[in-house]
Amino acid sequence: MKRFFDDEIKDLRSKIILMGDKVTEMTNEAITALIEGNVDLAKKVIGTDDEVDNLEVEIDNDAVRYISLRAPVAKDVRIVTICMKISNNLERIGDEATSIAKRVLKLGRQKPPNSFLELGILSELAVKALRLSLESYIEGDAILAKDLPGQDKELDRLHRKNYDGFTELISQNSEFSAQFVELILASKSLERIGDHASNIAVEVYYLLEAKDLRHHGIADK
Amino acid sequence: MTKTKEEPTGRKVETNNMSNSKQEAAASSSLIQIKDLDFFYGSKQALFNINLNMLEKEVTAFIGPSGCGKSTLLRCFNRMNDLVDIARIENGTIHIHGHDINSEEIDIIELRKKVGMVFQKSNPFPKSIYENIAYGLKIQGVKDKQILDEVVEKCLRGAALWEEVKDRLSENALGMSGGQQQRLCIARTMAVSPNIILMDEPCSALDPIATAKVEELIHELKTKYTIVIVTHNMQQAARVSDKTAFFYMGKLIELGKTDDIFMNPKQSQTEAYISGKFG
Repeated sequence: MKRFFDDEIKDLRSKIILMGDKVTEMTNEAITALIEGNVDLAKKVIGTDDEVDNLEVEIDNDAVRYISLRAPVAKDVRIVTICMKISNNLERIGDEATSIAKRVLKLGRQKPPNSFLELGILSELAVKALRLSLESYIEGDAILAKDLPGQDKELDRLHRKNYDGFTELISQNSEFSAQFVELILASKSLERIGDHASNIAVEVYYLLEAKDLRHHGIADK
Repeated sequence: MTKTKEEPTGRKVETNNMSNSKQEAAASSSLIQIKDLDFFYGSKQALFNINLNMLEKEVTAFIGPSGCGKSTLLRCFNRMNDLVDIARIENGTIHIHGHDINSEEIDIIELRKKVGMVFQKSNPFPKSIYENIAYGLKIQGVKDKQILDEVVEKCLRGAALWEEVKDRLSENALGMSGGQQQRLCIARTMAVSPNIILMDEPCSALDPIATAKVEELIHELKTKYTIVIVTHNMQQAARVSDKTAFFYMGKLIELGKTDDIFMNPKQSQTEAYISGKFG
């Protein structure tokens, strides 16, 4: 039986999807801006961050209102609480994309020599993880959600490689040390985007299966 | 200007007293206006200085513990308390559509047609489903079968009952389920074209599915009617109402938008009650 407040749940879901679209676009644009030294694109990313922040606040308010007024139970309560957790992770992804964009402003159009190491592949994997985590939410795909968290080890490995590589480059090219530090921090942001995508997948799995994968499933042991 | 007072805890809270200009503005657009109402059962005062305005086509929920006066106030709106010998309004007025409903010129029958009521326990007449709806019109002298048929269908549709009973309109209403009987009573109330529907714990005897159907119906009815509902079910008040009034020991403690009352009540008593910490 359809209830007159069911549309409020649909609105929450639509806002999560909209927020997911925005942070995916921000991440893609921040990476492009970094690779191409595109300051204008970086400024656009920074300008979008407020929209994402506003969506997080809206989703939190809507969710608190729903819990207060609609007394949700079972899957409904998971839907609403998970919306708050997913939106928090998406907001953090927006922050990381903004952080990368701010590094582009600092780097300007000057590119250091041999500059990007594994940043390209790390970017691809971070965006892929984000896309798949959102797909698991939109499609309600529990298998995808369960598989995703294990894949962030590769992002961790690539970031570690970048860290070591850029540190080495700093010692060899001290005149570019400031630029390489920015690239280390951009690499860290990409690795964190992968972590937040994994977090989203864990929350989606809990939403769909009511099983907690956090901390290696400690809650279900 | 909103007044503030300091509670024993030291927390400063806004009271629901509005300035005269705000009260006048609210009253002018209100369908029901209650001013300085004191109500007694014999020597026992049941309501203390109630000031409350309700807007057209809004659902207002009255909540509060048993004996707080919420049902007494509800029954004031169609003068059901006149049936209780020792009941009396000592001070104050109730205006509906700008008319003082306790003045001598008011025709109580007309008032009760305009202010319908649905009770805690469904009370269909021991007649057919059709007759339950048509009865009110028939005693008003409507005899045209076509008009009666139209009203019966319209009201049963309005109460989301038509599809369930259209093939058994001649069956006795007492054979319906409890939830259907309650929706029939709502349909019966609608038949005499009220402006206001009063509901006194309309779902307290119903199972969750029947309750959900009545709540759905309330949500639809508010596009046409002003509804005042007394309920002990806080979740129901939160779900169905636009405004909520919390009463305690005959006093109106807090009135506000339902969102505000359930998410951020101003009075600590309201918060304690809706959180189940009262006592």
